[in-house]
Amino acid sequence: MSPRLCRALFRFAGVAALTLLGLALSSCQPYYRDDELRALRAERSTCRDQRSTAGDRLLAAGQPDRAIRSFEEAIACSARREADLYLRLATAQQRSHRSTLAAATARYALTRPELQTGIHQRLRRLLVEIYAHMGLTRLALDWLEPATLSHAAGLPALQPTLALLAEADSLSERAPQRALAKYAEWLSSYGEPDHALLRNARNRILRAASPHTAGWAQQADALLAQGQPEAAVRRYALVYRYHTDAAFAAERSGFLRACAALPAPESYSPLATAELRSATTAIQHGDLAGALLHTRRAVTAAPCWSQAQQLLRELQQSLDAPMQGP
Amino acid sequence: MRRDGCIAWLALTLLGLCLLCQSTMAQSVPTVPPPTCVVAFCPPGSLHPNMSIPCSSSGCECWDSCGQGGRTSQRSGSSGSSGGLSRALTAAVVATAKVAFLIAAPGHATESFGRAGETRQQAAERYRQHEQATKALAQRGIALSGEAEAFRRFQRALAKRERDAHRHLLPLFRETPLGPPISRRDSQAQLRCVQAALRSAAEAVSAGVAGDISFLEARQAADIAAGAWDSGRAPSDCAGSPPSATPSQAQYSSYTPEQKERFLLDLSTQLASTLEVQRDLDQQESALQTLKQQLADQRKRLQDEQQQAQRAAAQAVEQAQREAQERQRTLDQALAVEPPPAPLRSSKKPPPEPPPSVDPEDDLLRRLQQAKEQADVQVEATRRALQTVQEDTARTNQRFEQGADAQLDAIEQRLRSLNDKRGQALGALNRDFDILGLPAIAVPPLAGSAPAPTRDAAPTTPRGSHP
Repeated sequence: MSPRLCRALFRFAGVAALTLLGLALSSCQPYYRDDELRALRAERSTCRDQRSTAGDRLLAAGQPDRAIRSFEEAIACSARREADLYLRLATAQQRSHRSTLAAATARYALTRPELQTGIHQRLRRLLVEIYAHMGLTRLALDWLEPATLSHAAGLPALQPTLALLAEADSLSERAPQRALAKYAEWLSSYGEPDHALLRNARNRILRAASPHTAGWAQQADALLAQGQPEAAVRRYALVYRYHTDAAFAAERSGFLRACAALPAPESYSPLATAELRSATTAIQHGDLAGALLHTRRAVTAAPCWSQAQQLLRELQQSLDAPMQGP
Repeated sequence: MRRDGCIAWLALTLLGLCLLCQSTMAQSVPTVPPPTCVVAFCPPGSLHPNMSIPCSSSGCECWDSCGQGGRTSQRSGSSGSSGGLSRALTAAVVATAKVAFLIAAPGHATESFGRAGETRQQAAERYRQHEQATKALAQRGIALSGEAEAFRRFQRALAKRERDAHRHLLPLFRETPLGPPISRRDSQAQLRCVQAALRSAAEAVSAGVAGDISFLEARQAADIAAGAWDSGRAPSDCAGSPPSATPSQAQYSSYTPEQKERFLLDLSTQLASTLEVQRDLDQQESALQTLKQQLADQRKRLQDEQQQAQRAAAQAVEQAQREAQERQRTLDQALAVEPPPAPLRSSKKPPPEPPPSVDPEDDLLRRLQQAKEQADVQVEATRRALQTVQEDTARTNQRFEQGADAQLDAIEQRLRSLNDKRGQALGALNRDFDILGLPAIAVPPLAGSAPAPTRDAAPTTPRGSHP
């Protein structure tokens, strides 16, 4: 073969290859089949069972991280995405100390259709446990069933937080003064009650102890009239802490007058300032439970401090904010 | 030539890579029917443009039936010896393209190829069904994917709400003018803060609420005042810069956390007991003042009564003296008219028995004398009565003062005892305060032990002036 022909052949082959390459690049769109394959996997029941069983085994063996992967695969394999699988996933996530994710999974499971009663109860119990461990007592109490203080105080997760209050509640009829002392002790550690269940217990205890706390508001008024706002605010702080909601509402105007007469109430409460500073640090670290606890205690120590009241309100509103639902 | 060869091989390599990538991206189809030509048309430049070319189970007749103007006829007519090679090369390129097309886009390949022995309509129908099944499957997969995405979105939303939603609150408590004024380092404010915290605890004690949060306030104040920065609960609030450490503070710094906790607990207990003692002391002082007031009132009443009685007795004496002087004057006048020989004698000797026949002037003088003597006796009696009243007053006053002193002494003794206790408690507190670096509390003077101005300066107070 002559070199000329050879050169012509190579040239032709190069042109043809470049043409084909151009065609391949311009006209052939990539063809993804993820959706089809996902559907094909979901139709295979053996996949779901195998993954789920493997997840249970791993969870029992104390390997929650690997169990999470197995349960996620089981959910991906499952065509119906049963709540039972989400419950197992949430349990694994909780054991893996991913509390927020576990709470989200459990709450998502509660939205699943055809939820069985047993699963429903287990999910609520798991949510109570998760939130109690996170220190978000208010959210834990939201999922409590039955919603009674004695039941809450009986749960191991909530017992350290609510035992004193429950004890005070049970003592309120028989020994109101002792109940008041127990309540004071609980209030010192928990701070401002932030759930209806807690507020109802407070009202019961303080109503029974009202003969021992009567007259404080009049004393505070008298002190304010004598031009002693600091002493009046101290007395009103006791009224704030140890009067029922209804009784305090009657004294509210006097309380506000006394607070207005003391321009910087936090200047008189080292505990409140320290607590609020801790709350700020907790916020910086994304620790909502810590922020709530410290702010509640700051409000209890210095009820006149409007900034503490405002922060507590905003923190609670952030918990109540509507979420982007499933 | 070498350059042309390189370009050709480079192009072929790129083509291979492209095909490899596409085949990797597009997963294999589970069942792909064997390729069958379904439909073909004559090209526009042929004799029968756009005419359908008949196909059979072995394939289509391709361009042979299209007549003049078709690619094959043109080529066969024009190319000579190189026509065969060119045709072979074209067939090779087309075959390569078909294989590449089959591997790269298997879904579209079914459009071009069918099963053996299948008519065109059947193949088209089967392909439509296959396509619909694939679409349904993909739709189901998309739905499942949407559910997974919803779950992920829910998780993200919850995490955001429970972890990040409150972060916008941060600026509120940064070092801004809106921040707590206690952060500003004002030593007066710090002292006031510590004092207020201790007062709060005292208020809770007096209100009878044990376990109130103000006890934590007191503890916090003690912590802050001590500059216990290592306790983890003593930020700069209320304290400003830490005070310079004294030897006793160095002792406190050397305590373990447990010792510190015990120390502060003891301090809280001491504070509570000191406040108790102070309250007792205040009560006793108040009782003392009340008793002093009562005694002063009683003393005033007694003095009034005594003065009244003395005045009455003195008036009686004056009356009797006036009477006696009157009678003396009358007697003197009678004696001046006719000086009796022995009026003075009669005073020295007992008067003789009046004779049956007596001079009337003598009788008058005698009666006047008797009246005078009676008046003198009366004067003497009233003087004695006055003396008795004065003696009684003195005795009553003495008894009253003795009783009052006994009562006052009892209270003052109790006050002194409480004051001693307070002194001891304050001494212990001051020692602890010294350890914490707090200024010592001065021991106030006992009210009962100081001279009581209201008592000694009172004009009505007879104490010290009474006999």
